[in-house]
Amino acid sequence: MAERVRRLSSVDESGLLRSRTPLEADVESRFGSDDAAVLRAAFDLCGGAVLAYGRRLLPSNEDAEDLVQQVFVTAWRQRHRYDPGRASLLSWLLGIARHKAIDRLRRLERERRVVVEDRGRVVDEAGRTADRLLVAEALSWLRPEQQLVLELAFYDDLTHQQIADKLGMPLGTVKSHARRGLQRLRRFLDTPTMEAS
Amino acid sequence: MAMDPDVGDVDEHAHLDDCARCARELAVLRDVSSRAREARPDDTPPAPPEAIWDRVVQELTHAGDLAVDQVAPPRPAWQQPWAAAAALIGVVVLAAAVLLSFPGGDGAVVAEATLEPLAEVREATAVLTADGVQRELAVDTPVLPDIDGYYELWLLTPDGSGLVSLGPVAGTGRHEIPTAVDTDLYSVVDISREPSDGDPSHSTDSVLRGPLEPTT
Repeated sequence: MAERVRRLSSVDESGLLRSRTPLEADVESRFGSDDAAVLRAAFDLCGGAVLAYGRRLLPSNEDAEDLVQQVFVTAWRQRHRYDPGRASLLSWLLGIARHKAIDRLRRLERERRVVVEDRGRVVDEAGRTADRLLVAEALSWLRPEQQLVLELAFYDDLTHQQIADKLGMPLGTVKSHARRGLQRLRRFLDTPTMEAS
Repeated sequence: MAMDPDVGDVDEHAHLDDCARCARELAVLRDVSSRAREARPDDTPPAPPEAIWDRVVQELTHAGDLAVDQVAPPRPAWQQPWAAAAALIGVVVLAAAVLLSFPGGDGAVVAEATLEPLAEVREATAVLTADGVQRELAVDTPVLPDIDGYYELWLLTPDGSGLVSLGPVAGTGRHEIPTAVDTDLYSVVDISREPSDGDPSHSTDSVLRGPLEPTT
């Protein structure tokens, strides 16, 4: 707990969890354009999460790296389909990754290079992994005070009143940080399943 | 309320019993909240290797989905807006300089080379110009993948028995050829990958090579 507050207070000073370039900051609104620099910014911003997702689901690191390649190639070809009003860019990319990873697993299975014993478990695992990556990404976009309130509520199981006491913040302020933070998380987590061919 | 059941007074709870829209909203936020709770995030995952980006660009350019000149520079140039702007201005100035002087500029074109890829890179060209005082080799390479180290330009004899370095190369540039070098003998243009190890000799790891053909 103490450690988390310390980490977040250092975030407070800089104002952002990790620095984003101006291009990265509006990569979502510009993603549909023909500017390849936007694809590069998306790669810098989301490539790590897509790779982590692939490593979680696919048998080898090579498969995971191939997945990243496929996802960004597909994302560029289908960039006009991305709607920032419906989903965060990372949820859209992970939707593509999910399809590609399942295709890949099926092919590996056909070639008898892997045995998938429990397909349901793989799908659950895919969902949990995506959630974890999306929550990390979503939290990193929140204002530091919203982030702090949500982390204390989620991971330290504090009530709003306890958070207010701990931070010396009025209860109403804690509630409004929690509400706004949660609304922004929703954009990352409450998204329709993305279909990508 | 979605996160903390103690929040909300009697009126608010009563309202939720009656209002389907707010109740649905609360259910969605509860679901988001519980998923976020379960998904205790790992630290930000590390960035993927630069080689994967190169593969993305290669696949898209080969398939014609992306023109080579559309490709963005790698991340460091974008980390500062002024750096990006300066880099862009640099590219424009360099391109203008090359366009103005390449090939016609000071000297007449005396030979040209098409450099064939020996690794996963795209074809490049080199033009030798001479104006009676100095000779220059202007090379135009497409985007070369980022490497640990740098790319170096060489002139070789066709049998590989002799070589002379014309210095590091990046993108488009002009390289003066020392007067002692006979380009009739040193007639092969070569670009190699060189590690930054202080060793000035050729790494033997060439990525592009082609013979100079006199233009008549």
